[in-house]
Amino acid sequence: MLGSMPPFVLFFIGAIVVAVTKGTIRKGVVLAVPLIGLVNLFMTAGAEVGAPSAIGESVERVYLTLELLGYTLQPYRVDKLSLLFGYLFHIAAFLGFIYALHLGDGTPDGSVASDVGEDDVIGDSTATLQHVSAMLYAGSALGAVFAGDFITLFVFWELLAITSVFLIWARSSDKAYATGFRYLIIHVVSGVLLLSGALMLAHQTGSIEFGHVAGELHGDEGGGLAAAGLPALLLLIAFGIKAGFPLAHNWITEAYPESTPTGTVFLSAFTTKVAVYALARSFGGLDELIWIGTAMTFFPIFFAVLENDLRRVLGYSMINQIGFMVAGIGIGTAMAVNGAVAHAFADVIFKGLLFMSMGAVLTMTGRSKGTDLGGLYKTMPLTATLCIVGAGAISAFPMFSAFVTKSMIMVAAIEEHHYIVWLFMLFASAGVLEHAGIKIPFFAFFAHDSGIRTKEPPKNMLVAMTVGAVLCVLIGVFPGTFYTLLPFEMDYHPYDTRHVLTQLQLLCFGALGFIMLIKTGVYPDEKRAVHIDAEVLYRKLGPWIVTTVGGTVGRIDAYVRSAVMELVHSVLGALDRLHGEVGPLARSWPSGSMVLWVALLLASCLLFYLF
Amino acid sequence: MSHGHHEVKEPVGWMDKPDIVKRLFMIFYVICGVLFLAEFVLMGTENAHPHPLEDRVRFFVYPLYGFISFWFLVLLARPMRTLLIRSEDYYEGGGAYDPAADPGHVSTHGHDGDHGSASDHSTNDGEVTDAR
Repeated sequence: MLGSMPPFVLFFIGAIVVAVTKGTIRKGVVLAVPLIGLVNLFMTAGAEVGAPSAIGESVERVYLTLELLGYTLQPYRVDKLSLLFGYLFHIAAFLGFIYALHLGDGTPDGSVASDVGEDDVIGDSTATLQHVSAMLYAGSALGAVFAGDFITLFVFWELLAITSVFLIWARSSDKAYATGFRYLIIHVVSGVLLLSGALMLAHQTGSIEFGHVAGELHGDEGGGLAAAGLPALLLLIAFGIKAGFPLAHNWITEAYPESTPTGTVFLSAFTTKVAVYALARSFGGLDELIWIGTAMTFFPIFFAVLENDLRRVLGYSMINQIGFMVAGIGIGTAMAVNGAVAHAFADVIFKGLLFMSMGAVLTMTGRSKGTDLGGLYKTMPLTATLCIVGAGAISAFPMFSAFVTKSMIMVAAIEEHHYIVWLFMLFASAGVLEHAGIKIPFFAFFAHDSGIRTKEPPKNMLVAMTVGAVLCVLIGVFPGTFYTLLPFEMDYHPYDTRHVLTQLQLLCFGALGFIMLIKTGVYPDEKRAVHIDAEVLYRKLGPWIVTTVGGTVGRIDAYVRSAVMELVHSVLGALDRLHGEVGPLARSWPSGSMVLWVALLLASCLLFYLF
Repeated sequence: MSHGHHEVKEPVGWMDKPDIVKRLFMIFYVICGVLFLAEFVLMGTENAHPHPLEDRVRFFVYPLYGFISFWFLVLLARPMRTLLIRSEDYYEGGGAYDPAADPGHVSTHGHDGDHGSASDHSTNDGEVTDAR
């Protein structure tokens, strides 16, 4: 049975078991499910599978097919691309559940969150809800990456939204509820667009296979988005919303800081990476993605410099990193797409580690803003060290994961002569060091001493962070082993002297720039404030338009109503005057006057007759 | 809120000691110096993969690019802040940012040598929370 079981089934069964168990049994189940799932996947991988058809030769296995309305559904299709994301999501779920293992055990020893009235932030009272929704969420992500058709993808796409929103609501604050609803609406819209595009595609091509869309419509992988038409555009927007394309990116920076410390770790692992996977499968080589991705690497780093909430900074950092992946998918060569999916893999681990460290800080202090934190290295030295490892990994220092993944995308950009794109990426790489490599650990653990005295987080949190940190280093030190998991054949060697030294030069002189910015007072202070972004369109402008237009329509409606009512009243008044009790047309006349009028009428007739 | 009733010994971190901080900075400057000198070694080497910048201007490109990138980033972010900053409750009905009403306004400047020196910037009226 193992080896052919769709991975999502195991997680969905696991969610049911988690819902009805407690204590140690539940802890055993949440850890066992991803591990058994991983064994299941390794047994699947025993069968020969290859790269998806977009670039390499297609060697895939379909383990399950269903018929629906004349279409063939493939709920479990495996090739090297889906397998890589399958491994990744099992590892992410395992790490996430280790990190969340203490939920339900009460407030961690040493936490001072209650001193600032933030003990609810830990989400301990919603442990069952969080474990069940995280299990379903991980299962949905696995269902999406192993979907062989767009209908199955749509089902899991919507399940991703519905199951994950509870990780935001689990924080049980008014702000979290409002954020959760906005998150849900945005993701349901994405699903509706996906279904619309898929149905139009099915109408045009007669196939619902989840494959390369431009190729399906155009006969080859070239031709661009315009040639692919409306179905491709709808699918691209659907994927883009989940991937955090510019203007659709604020669900990330809104939802991640509002979720519980453990919930954010799960949120950061799955949704955006499913979108990256979908883009890699359906839109590899689409030129438009190069510039969309480049924009994503560029603009968030400015917001990240200014932002006060460190988990929101990581949200912007997430968009920045996805930008590299999207650009790599757009470049579309074997090395570029390999780089994109490898970077997605590495990002889940190092970004997860950074979110874990900030979650640990939030759990133990009840705070996550730069203005409220600082000096925590004294009481949380292990967390600080593990955070620095994550910071080193995301900054792409040699011997860390991003050094061997992101560089593939950048080399591919050069090989395809996208020099401007490469320069933007190089700038964005320096920006990553600024906001994720320096700002996060600096403001949380060093900088000014906030005076907060707490303890290290629970052991399970430290274990999860340590495993994440070890993986960041292992990928960086042994890239060859990691590269064998990638979907396409390529020849890339990250450790040549020039690459190592130039990368160190870029990062160290960037850091020197940071020191000078601090010393000269040019670096902007942390402020208790928000910085408006595209979300202002639907959080301020949209409601303002609705209120203003609604008010105007209301006033016009009231004016027209009163005018019409006045008219009706005046007509009724006139009729009343004529036909009322004393009105001339309703008055009682004496019978003598009637005889007089009849006589006059007869006399007139007689006169007419005579003359 | 305050936990003055149980006196605890203030932990002294290694960054509270100016000598250590100064030494760390010195080590970092030395590393930068070594990386600068490495530029001369690099001039005689070839890339395993193509690097267009180096084909044209081979000397000191990456260090300069990294340094300038940080300054460009911050110098552009500052006017952006002027344009975009709003009060913390902006989306809950608040309005413009008022610096006078920002108790947690934290200066990041001048930390070289006095990292973590007591809680002079404490955000909670000097509150020291201690759970131990």
